[in-house]
Amino acid sequence: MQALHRGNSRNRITGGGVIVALVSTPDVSLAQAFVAARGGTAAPESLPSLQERLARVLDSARSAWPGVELNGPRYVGHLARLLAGEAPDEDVEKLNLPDVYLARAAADGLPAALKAFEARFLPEVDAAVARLKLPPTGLDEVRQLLRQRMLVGSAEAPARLAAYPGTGPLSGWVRAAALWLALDWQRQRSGQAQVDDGDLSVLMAPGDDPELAYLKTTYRAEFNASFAAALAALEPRQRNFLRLKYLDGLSIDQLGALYGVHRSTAARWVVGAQEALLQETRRLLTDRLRLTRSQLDSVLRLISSQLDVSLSRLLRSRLD
Amino acid sequence: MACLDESTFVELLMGSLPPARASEVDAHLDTCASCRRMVAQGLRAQSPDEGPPGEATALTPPRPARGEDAPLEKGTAVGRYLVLERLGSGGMGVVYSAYDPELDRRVALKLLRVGVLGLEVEEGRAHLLHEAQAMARVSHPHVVPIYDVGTFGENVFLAMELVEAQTLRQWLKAAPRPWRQVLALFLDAGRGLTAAHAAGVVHGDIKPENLLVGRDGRVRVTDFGLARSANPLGEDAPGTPVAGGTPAYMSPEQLDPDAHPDARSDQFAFCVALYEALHGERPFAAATVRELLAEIRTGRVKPAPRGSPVPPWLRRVMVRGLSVDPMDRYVSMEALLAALQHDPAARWARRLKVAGGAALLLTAVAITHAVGSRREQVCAGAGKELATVWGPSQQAAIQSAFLATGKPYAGAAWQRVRRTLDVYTAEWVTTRTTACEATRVRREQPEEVLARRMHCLDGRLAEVAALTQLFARADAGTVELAARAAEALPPLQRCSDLVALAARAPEPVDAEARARTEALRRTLVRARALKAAGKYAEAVALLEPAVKSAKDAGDRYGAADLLLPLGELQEELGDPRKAEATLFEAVWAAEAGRNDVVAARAWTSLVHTSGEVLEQYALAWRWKERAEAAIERMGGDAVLSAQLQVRTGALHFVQGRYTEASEQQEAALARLEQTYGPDSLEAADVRLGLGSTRIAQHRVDDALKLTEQALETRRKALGPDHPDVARAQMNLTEVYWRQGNLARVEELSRTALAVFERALGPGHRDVSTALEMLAAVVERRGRGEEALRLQERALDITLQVEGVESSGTQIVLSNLANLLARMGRHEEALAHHMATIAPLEQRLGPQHPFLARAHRACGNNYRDMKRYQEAQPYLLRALAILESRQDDPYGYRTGTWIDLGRNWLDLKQPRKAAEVLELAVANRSGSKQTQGERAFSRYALARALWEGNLDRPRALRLAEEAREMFTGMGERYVKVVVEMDAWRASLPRPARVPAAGTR
Repeated sequence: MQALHRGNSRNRITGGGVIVALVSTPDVSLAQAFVAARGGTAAPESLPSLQERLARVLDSARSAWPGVELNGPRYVGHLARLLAGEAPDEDVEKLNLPDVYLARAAADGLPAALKAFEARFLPEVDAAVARLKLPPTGLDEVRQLLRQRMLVGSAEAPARLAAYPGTGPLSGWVRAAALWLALDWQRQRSGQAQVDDGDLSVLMAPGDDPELAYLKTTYRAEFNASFAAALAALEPRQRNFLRLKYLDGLSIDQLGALYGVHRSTAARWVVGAQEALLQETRRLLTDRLRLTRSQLDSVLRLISSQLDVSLSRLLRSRLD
Repeated sequence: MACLDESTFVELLMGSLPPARASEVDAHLDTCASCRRMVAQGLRAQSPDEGPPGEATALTPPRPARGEDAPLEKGTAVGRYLVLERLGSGGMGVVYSAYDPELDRRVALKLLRVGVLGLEVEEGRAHLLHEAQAMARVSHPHVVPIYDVGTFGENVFLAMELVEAQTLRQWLKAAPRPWRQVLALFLDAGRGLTAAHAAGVVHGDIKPENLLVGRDGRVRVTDFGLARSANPLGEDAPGTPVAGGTPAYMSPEQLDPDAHPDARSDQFAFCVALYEALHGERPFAAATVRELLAEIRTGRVKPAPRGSPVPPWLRRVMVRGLSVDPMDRYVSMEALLAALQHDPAARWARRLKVAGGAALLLTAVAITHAVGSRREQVCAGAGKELATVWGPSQQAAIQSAFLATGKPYAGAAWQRVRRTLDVYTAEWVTTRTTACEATRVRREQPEEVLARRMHCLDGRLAEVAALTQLFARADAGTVELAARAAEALPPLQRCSDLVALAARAPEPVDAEARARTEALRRTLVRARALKAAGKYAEAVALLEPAVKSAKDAGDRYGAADLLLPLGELQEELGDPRKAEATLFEAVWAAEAGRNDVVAARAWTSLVHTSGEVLEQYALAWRWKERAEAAIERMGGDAVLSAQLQVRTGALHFVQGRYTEASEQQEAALARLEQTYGPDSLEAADVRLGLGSTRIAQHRVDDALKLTEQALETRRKALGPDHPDVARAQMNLTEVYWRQGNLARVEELSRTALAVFERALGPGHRDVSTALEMLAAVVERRGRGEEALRLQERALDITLQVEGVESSGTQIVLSNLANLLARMGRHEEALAHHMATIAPLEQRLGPQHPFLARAHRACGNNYRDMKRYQEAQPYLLRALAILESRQDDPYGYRTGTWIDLGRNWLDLKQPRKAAEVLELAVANRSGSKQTQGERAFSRYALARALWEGNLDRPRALRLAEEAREMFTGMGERYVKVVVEMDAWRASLPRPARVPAAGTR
């Protein structure tokens, strides 16, 4: 009875400390809301322990946002929907609870939540978007769009914040979503001539190495073919790593963030990809050059024997 | 899969994509550049380089690096130490407590990570090892002592004193500290830093965590130099500054990848830490590195917190230490410490005390002087001692041995040796007598000082004795080098220099040690004489076992003495890498054994070996600073400073900074002339270097004078067949080449070539130098094929000696290309020239004239093939390089203007052509132009003015001038005159030319 009553009254009851009228019946309202939202039923004897867990969860989330008063069952119901179907109830504590709390509250339009969200997350998001160097009008438009989509929503799409999955920090999620909006805006506006820069031959710019430059001018065709073949033999991820590193100029830290690995792992991956590229290029090139060995003069012989060194130095210098 | 959608993009950026989806995304990104670029842009905007995500404020100390390496187990042997337990870890690596079984004590063992990227391991480790060895040299009560350094697998380890201490931050938190107590603590820490700076070590990461306060209350500085070395190749610069360093305490120059942090950077960090310790907050209000930099640059030090007890004078001192420009800070840590002690309240009392002391001292001197008298005769023995070493009988023996070799220059060599030794020994007698009298007669110096001075002087006499013995058995080779050997005797002033003497070897205490020291000295003297006489291999054979026995005996001072000449000899023998390693060993032994003279000289030699020879310029500049510090630690030494200036000048020269080079060389020349005389070989060496610089400065007449004088000095001292004479001849050919004196060039390079081949063997780099010059001149005389063969031989040698990468090889290659071009083989020439561009830029930097020369050569090769469009960017780039410089090296500008102008003409752009050609005709570079340059620039301008219809009457006048010049320049230009006449004939008749201004 009580549970039903409170569940329907989220617009009236704003506090968490509603007095339980009947002392003899323990309050399991949170547990019931949670179980209901997960679309299941639970044995009545399991409810008190679930209630206790959820009350703790609610308390800690609330204390992170003083003044933001989201209805408790509303919050735990939302948590329940975020959990994967087969996950045990305890997994709820693996979510970023305070972040989910604020996201739900802001999506529900609670003024204190909107204020907190605005103050805590948007400046950093704005800064990230600003780094894309959009034209000023674009920047304003993206900011508008972001607030609109995150906080208000539209007839066909609810406020986007409600979709925050709670697995990563909210700040990162909002920022990523904002960047998507901005990049999408940019892509639509610029009509983007699809420049195909998927050519890693910049790695072979003759600016770096005397032997290589020499080889390149002399055996340009052989070299390009070997390099292209070696590149094609890499794993797609290895190619992506090299492109992101050398063509797009990402740092090791950024690569690590992209694949969710530590920077040293990312560094190892890059080095591994390079190594594979080098060895294959060299192998193919040696094969091809052998065909025309008669043309090699003394300088070239020396150069080909040192190719190993020069290639690795070339790529290393790019890595610095 | 299709292009990325919003949720995939968001998950990707958050790194939370499930693995199965991740490989799908990878496959898509592999084929879709536009999505990939979006991801990259998103990532960059999300976490710009100033810090990885999660570190929004950079002003917190860096997170301890996550230990990827498994911790060492108890009992693991690292070097000779046994690991006990893990104490902690920091950005630089892990610290263990360990046991040293040899000395039965506990030590702290720090394992330093060499770098995350596998490729840099070798380089990084060597670098770190050097740094660690530098740290180990610092010995001071306020510096945590380093006992040992070594390698452990891919890591470097340091064994340090195990200090039971808290960090300064903990100390400050533990109790309220009055400002005077804080200041006193910092003064002590500052003294430790000063000692480090004197040893040439910059800390690089001063912060409260690196200042340890022991239980005894003593403060100690730790973690020297690690911040910079642990990650020498910071991959994320300039955003993330130095790994491990803490931005909040870093000086602005440490955050700037192009600047060179030095001791004054430590001063800045020291002041940040002091300010924080005194005020409880840092001096600049900033939350990010960017803001911090902005605050520092504007010099906005926060006002002191309300009610701060810190006096204003102290604040003023700190604010100066926090200046953005290092030049505005105190000149040294010492000066800063002096200012920090300049408490006006305390000053008056101190001054009184000092005055009292001085008065007392004066009285004491007066009294001793009155007492000591008439004891001069005690000190008359010097002349007698000398007679046994350089008496009439020795002189006669040497003279006859010299003449018996039958060498034409034996007589001259003898004269020179005699004069040098006469002067040296006379000075020796004077010095020794004065030293003796100072103690025995005037009682000014204690017996102990006299003993040291006498010991030093005895050593000098032993050197003379070794030399005269060698000379008395002279063969032709010895005679050749005799003069140089005599001049190479170590200067006597150092035996009078009390500071230098105090730094001398500890006197051996027991008989065994004394005997060993004597043996070592004899070896050294003999090796030095052998080296001076050019018998390098013999000298090495003598030194190597001696080094080993000195090391076995634990005699670092003596080992340093031996290692220095060994390293220098290895370089003479053509093994610079080995030489470099040996010189480092010498430095290490010298610093550890407090052998300051050797330390200074070894660093100086390293400037040459690492820089000029191995082309590691950045390193060489650091060695130069080390050498300066070492010299300063000795209390200064004019000759060592001058020798260092010679090396520095050479370094400037190879890097294309001719103004700086000449400044160093002029100063060194003045000093060495003063010390050794204007006709000395030392002075001649510098003259040759300065001569080369003058050529680069396009002051060919000065170069001629300097080089001729140096050649003359060497020829007189060494005889005509000496390789050093041939080297000077080669310098002279460069001058003659520029003056167009081909006959002299050919003659000099042929004789030099013969000397080099005979004396140094056919594979020596000097042989290649001579071959190149010969090739150039032979080609000019119309024997192209012969020239090509000579040049190819030169290339073979250079490749062998220097490897493919050296700038020397690039220059030989480009000379080969020039020959090919002159023989009409343009495609080949172009390929060669192109290939030199990148390595030259990498080696010599973006403003080097040789780089401009390479670009111009490419441009002209294209021109030769009539591919003017392709020539254009190369010529423009050449000009850009030259115009980026203050000076006009080798007078390259004029030629480049002319080439560019002619290319504009060929591209039918007469107006642009006229623009640059006007510069050439007006000689706007101010350099002396050749006749050819004057004639060609006029001819080309004439055509430009005509074809652009800019000023046709002037065009005709210029053409007339040019024609006259060409006619006066001999046969080679007949073709040009014919071409000019054809051009003139093709023009419309002059009568139809409207006069300028009438249109």
